[in-house]
Amino acid sequence: MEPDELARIAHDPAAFEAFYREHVEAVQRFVVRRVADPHVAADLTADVFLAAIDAAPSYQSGRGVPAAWVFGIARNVVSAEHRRSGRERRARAQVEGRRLLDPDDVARMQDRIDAEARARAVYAALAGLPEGERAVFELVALDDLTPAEAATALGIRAVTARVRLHRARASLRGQLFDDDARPTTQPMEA
Amino acid sequence: MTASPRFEDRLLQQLRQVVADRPAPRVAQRRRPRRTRLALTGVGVAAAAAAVAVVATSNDGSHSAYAVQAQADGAVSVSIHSLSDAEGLQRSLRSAGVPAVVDYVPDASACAAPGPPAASPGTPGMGGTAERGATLRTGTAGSGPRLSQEGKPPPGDGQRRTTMSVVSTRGGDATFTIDPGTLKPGDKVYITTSTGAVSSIGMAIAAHKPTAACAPAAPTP
Repeated sequence: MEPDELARIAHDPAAFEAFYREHVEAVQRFVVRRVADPHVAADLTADVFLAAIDAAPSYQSGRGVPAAWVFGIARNVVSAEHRRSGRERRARAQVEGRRLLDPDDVARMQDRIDAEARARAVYAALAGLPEGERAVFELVALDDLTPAEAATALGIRAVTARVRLHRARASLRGQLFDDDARPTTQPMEA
Repeated sequence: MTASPRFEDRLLQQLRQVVADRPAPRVAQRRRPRRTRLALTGVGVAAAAAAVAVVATSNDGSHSAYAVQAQADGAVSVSIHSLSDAEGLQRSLRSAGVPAVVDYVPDASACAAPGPPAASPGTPGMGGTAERGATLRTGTAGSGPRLSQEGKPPPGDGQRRTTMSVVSTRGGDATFTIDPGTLKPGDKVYITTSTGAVSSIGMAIAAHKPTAACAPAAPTP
């Protein structure tokens, strides 16, 4: 989908479907790098797309490619989830992702979750970083964005992203990678 | 990796319904400029003098010193985080099509005329010049990349125009944008600092090296 078309996903179901199919896999993987519960992951996947629908009309193509934009939204959604209770969120959700899961889906979601255990360990280990640095580092280290894409996702300048990345790496180098590259923190999720 | 058609499809149907139920879009889109950039063109200084204005907070960290980015419209945006690699910035800009001359050496002696009171008193330069003691310093450009330093550049070789851009700062970095397409043959883009701090970076476009005001100039022609 071209950046120019993105605004249409807010009101054109066909445009939305194209957008959804393009990004649903990446969004789910993004989510399970951060949460370990299949039901919460399903909720958050739905939330990310709902947030994208809400945000699309104000999307500006200068903000960069849609993929990076989606990651910025996903990050906000997941961060918000950690700041408040799931109950609060679900009371307002238009679509409850978890209600759409059947047992097979849960198993598949669990497989995704298992595959991303290491990423979640890294994610948990980032808790001590300043928020700005953490945001950039997450997107680059966990989600394979380039620093420039991470900057787009976060609405910051590329040079700022690089500086933050540099600082995050410097402060993490000791705590995260000293023990033969093995993160010591456990996966998170509540 | 593969999204088999289950949860994903059910979710899609629900979300499609959400989209379909939304009110029709307004035609007018809200516009929110994300960054204000002040560019003053045609600062018609008859003499060679090019004023350079600067805004900023200071931050002389030692991380990636600068970034040069070509924009889709042909302009080149520059962010300067620290004054540590003038040569590298100059090289980057030239390879991006900007005939730049970058000189971070503060030089109070080159002050042509004192400008208004220095803008950021809290950021003394590292060049040992207090307050207004700094100046736009330039090197000679073009093929001979020597950064000559003269005590007091003569202001009088009547250059035709100077375009001045106010450098803005975000997060301690000086940022500005140059459109090489607007340069005339012979123009150079001078990037200098009046105090030796990022807060005092200025950019001027002129055919010959401009003589700086000693302090951030008021944005008046």
